[in-house]
Amino acid sequence: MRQGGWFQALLAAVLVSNTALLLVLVLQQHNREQRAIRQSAQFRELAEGTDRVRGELRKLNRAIGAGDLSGLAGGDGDQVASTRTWLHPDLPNFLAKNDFDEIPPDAENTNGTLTLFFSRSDPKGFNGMVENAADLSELESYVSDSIAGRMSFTDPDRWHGILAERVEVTDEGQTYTIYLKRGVKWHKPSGVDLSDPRYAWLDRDHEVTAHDFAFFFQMLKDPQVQNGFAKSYYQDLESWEVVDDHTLVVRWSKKVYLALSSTLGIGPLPEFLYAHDEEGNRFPDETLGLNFNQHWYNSKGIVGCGPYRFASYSPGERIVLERFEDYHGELPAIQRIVWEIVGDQNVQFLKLRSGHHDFGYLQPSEYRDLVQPYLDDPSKPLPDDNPFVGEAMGSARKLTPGYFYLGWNADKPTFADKRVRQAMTHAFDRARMVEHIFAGLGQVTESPYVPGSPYNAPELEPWPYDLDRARALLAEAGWTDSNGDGLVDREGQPFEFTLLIYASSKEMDSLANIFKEDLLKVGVRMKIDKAEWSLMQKRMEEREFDAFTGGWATSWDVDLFQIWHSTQADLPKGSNMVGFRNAEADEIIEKLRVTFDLSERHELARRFHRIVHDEQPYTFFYVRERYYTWWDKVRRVVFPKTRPLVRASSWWVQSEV
Amino acid sequence: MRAYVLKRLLLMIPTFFGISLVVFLVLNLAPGHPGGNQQASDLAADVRSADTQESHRIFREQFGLDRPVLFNTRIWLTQEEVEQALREIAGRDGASPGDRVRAQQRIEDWGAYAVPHLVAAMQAGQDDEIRDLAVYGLRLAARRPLIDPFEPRPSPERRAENQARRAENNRLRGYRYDLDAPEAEKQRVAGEWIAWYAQVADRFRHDPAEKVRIFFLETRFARYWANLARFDFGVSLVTREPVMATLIDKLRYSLSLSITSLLLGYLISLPIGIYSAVDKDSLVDRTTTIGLFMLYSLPSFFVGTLLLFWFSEGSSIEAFRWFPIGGWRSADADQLTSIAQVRDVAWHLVLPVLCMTYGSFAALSRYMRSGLLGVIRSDYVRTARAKGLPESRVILTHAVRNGLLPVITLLAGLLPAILGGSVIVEVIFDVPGMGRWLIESIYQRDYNVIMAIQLLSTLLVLFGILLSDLGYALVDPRIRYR
Repeated sequence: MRQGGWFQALLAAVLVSNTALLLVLVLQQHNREQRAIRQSAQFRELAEGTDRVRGELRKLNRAIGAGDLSGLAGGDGDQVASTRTWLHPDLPNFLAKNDFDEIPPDAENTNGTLTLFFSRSDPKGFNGMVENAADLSELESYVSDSIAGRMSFTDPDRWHGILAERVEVTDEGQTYTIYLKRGVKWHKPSGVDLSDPRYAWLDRDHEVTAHDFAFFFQMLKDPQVQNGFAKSYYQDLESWEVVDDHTLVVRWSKKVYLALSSTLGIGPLPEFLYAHDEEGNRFPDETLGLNFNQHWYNSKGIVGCGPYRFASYSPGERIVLERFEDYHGELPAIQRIVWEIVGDQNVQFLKLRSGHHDFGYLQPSEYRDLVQPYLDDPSKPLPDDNPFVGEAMGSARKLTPGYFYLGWNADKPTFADKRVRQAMTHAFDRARMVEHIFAGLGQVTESPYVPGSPYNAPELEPWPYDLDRARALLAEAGWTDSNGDGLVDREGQPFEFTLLIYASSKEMDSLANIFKEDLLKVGVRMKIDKAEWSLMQKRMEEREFDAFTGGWATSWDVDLFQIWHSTQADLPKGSNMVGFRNAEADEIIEKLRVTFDLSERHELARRFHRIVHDEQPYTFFYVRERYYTWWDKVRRVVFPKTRPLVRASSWWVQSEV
Repeated sequence: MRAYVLKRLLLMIPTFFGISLVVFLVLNLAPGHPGGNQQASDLAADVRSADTQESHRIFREQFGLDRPVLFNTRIWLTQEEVEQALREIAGRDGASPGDRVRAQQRIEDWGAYAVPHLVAAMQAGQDDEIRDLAVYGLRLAARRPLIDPFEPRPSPERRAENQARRAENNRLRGYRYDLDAPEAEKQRVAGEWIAWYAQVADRFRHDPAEKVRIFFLETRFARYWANLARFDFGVSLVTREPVMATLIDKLRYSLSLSITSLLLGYLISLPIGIYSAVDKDSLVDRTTTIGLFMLYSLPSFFVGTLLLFWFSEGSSIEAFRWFPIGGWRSADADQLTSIAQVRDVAWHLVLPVLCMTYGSFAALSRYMRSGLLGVIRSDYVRTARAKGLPESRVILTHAVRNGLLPVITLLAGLLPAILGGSVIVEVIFDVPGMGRWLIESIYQRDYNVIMAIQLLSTLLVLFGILLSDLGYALVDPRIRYR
């Protein structure tokens, strides 16, 4: 007993002293770390300062060059350019000078950080060649440069050079000769430790050359590479030729209008990275494509040559971009862009309201509760906890290029008759739904084109909401209430159909219910079938639906082939899911593909618009409006006319102090 | 006892196999398929040009999605079936557009098994349209997949074989024509196919032993299990990242959440349970019971949202802006000292852990209460009191020790909840853990990820059951297992 007592006391003493020792150690470590962190912060500041000075020097250098003092400026890329020889010197440069300052000319601060919402979930990968997601292409617009860019802010039908200084278009738009700028550098890869000997092979500077474009085309056309979405655009690409390190010739086998944007809109692909495994060994040629699909770097980041470099990625949390101080063009004003991955809508809202996000947008329901009442009644006192009204935040309503619609399966006997489809449109109260379900954030549409674009036929108005007209049209098509049960019927069959909607959209749900009630008034019974996305997709692919709600994103170049051409109606995964088959429309679509003259294109597109307006294969619904809003520190927020609408490289951020 | 444990462990193998079979079947037979794109894609996203079709085919091949799920009956494919499919694609026999689309998918999935029949259908020659469709179908069906393309250092023989296969695939890709090509051109291409088939016809003949092998083994399930036996969970169909590596990475988020909440749950509920048992039927006992059951009935997605709106930095009440708005750590966490990093994560964990824990108070404290009530009336407790020990000592050292045992065995049953419990909380509080990953994977039909998570929780359930059975035996000497 006595011995036990001694033992216990000893044990306790040892325990206590050990704990004390541990605490001391932890504290020491803590202090050491603090010192190290302080030092590294100083280093970073120093490095950033140097970078900034270098950027300023380059700017100065450029200014001197532009001021015709080239003799003093020394060998910058711009001067060498004038000594190059062109293959077609008599042709004008297809590229024009950008008539809009995409970089803010009067930014007062050039080292701001912008934090904003990126996406609900992690990107599936960062290799844009095998991934086709809207959020990824938005990232790429900062990190990767293309040959040329549309003048998105002024006239998107014209192009200005980015990686190219000159482009010659010959053979009526079938051949493109591209002269690349010299001295453009690839970013160094992030996401790997370049000081680790394993990755030493990556720790080198590489120049962007025509070979990187050749590698792009090689991967694009390789059947092993899983990029079906892109391959269909390049069906008619005939060949690409590297004339020298900075000259590239691209040939198309047919004269197609889309060849222009498909050629000028592409960016190079870093062969030094993607053709090699993690140890730096080149993949065997015969399996290169398959290995490219699941390249080890695909989940790590993007190596580009754009104004921002991909600095870091933490899955489920954020992606950070940092300005690339060695960028070949003009440097943007914002130094860091932090894109946060936020899975939950409430969290996204709170982060914007609390100022954690500098820029964002409101959902229709949030807009209705927090903004609309104060617009409707300006005398209403502004509450303290609602920064969305008042001086603290700026805002803009922007139409997003795309539209939502109801699609009618024309292969079902019920909807084969265009009068029935017209009746459906008359019974669908679009204006009211946009007003009530989407808080007015949208515009009723009647067209497959970007709103306001010259492709729209100007005289066409959306079919009005008119139940009497709907009843009359149904009667014309043979649907009348012959047995007095309140429902219309034909040959003893009542008019019934099922509307397929996306299950997790509250808005679609309320919309379908309103429509259902209106249809009952004209004697049609509609059932609602909610399906989650992959199931809905399968039903649509196999044409197992009467009607569905859908949406398309529209691009600036109008190409109607995929959605409206009759040949696309019977293909698995074809996009003409409603079975629209119209000989005249087919002819217009084919002609539109090979017509380059803009006014002729407009005329053709308008003719098509009139057909679609009459046939109503879709009941066009609305174009969504986003209510963008940002804290006051974000300055010069401008929006382009083409996607992506959010282009922070044209903004600047006020300094915090 | 040892024999019993061994028996149970061995029994686990068929059980595990059975469960995995059921999960696999449900997953693969559920409508929808991987490779869909959730986001509004560009206009031409899914258009099927010939090239597109081929790369989609390679995707399906790589993940075995072209194979039948359980048994491969394609070895007995008949000429009639193939021709029927071709007729359906042509829209004959009253085939609807849906039938046409499905028939094309059928031919695509039959792959190499349809080659002899497609060649025969092409040669039959009574019908130009069927011939055109057969040539079109052959283009995909005849191509051969590469062997082990992801092997880091292929042997020269393997490389030679793969080069030959690629060369053949490239050659076959040229054996096609546009529908508006002249008849002579079509004849020539058909001739090329016939010549090619004459050379390789052996490839498509199977002897009976091989047929048996194909029937059982050339299936999705066999393939999955062959990989699983080597502890290879495959790569995600969405990101192409190895599932296992991501799983281990995500596990730390989910484990921190659930283990903290489990510990907290026990720490809080046990004293409550003890108090309720000692002061049985008192006012305090009744109010806590009612209070805890009210908490229990509040759904966590609701409470989670309220917590966020009231007590996070985004709160509209300035005095309550205590905790971060979701997430796992602050943006600048990399620039903090270790202690500060731990503090930072802990700070982020408060709301989600709270949200996960409050629901378990009711059950745990009730178990503790009834366990303690069971022993509090027993003779030895009365003896302890009679000995003159203070009441606190009687309860805490004598009664609680025995009353605690059933509650401890409950732990084993909670093992699987370590994985499953955090799904909703992770989604609401934006924690990049396994729960959120599982939900996203289900939406995207990422079979390999769903399977891996399911198998892991199956294992945990099985071990949990075993542990709690063993636990009972340890606690109560009257229970014996043989």
